[in-house]
Amino acid sequence: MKVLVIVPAYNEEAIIAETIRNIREKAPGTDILAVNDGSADRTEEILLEDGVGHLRLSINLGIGGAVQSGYLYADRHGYDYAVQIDGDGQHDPSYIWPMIRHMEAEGADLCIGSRFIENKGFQSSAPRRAGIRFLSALTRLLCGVLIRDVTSGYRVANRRTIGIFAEEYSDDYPEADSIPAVIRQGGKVIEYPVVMRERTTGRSSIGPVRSLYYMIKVSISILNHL
Amino acid sequence: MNLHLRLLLLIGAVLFMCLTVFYIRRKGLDLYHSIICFAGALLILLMALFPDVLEPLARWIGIQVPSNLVFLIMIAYLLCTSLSLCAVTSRQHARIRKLVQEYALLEKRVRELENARAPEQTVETQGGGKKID
Repeated sequence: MKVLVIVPAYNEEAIIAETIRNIREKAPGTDILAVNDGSADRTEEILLEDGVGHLRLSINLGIGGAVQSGYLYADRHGYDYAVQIDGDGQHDPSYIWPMIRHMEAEGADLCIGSRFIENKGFQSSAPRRAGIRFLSALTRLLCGVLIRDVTSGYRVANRRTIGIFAEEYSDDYPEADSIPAVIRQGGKVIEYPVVMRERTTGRSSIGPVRSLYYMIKVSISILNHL
Repeated sequence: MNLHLRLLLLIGAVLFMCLTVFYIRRKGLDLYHSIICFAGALLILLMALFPDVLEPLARWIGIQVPSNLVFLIMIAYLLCTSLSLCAVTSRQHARIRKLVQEYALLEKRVRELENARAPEQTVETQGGGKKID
């Protein structure tokens, strides 16, 4: 079974080497593909030094475009599963194999690593949780499937979903609106409980004004997928 | 409608058409998008030449001064134009994204092929080629 771990990295020089080491250690037997999303810092040098498989985007495309190039790569190279994991160390790679096994058992097409099933670890701030709950309710209302952690960037796609994402994945904040895209094409989306850490370096890309944009954009996008 | 306004619209329409032709010939404006500009010029021209159509229409909508209808029509035209320009930039954005992604995939392949070749071959080639990275 071929598994590709896609690690998007934008200015993550402080932590990317450790993230990759962590994946090698905790998810043996997977191929790693880091995606340097036009970083301005030493991310590229670190990736070259490490020798890890990686893509260098010449223009910063944003998280969606970066991850999509990973799905495109997985699609071209016939991977059975593609795992998307953040480059900033928030996601623990030891869940990768359990998530894949869970997907196989359930016959699912997309598995979301969810913070809100066991409610352990980093739970995000209260306003963000409210936003996530709203998007989750909207997804449930329109698609009939309850996904609690709709904005989670920790996810596993099978071959079929890889094909969908390689074709269509939003540029910014793609997590929530990629779920209806899969469901609309008859795919099964499930969740798996994970514990996330709070990021130790860098900054979240989402401030208060962007949050509002996020909500509006994702709402339009979910409606658009009907 | 005031004669001066009609004259002004007429001059504006002719100037806009000339400007559009100039942009096609000198600035590389493609013919497909020039249609938007010609449509705008034609719209102004029609309003300047046949203001009698505007008056009953303005009265019907409840606009007291027909010249205000000219503004309304022009605003509607601008809205449609900006919508179509948004569509154009969106399409171009999607194309650029695809290009960057394909380029990155290709660059990875080239990098790995070069690394797989013997080092002495990559350092100096006959054509004076340089080793990347």
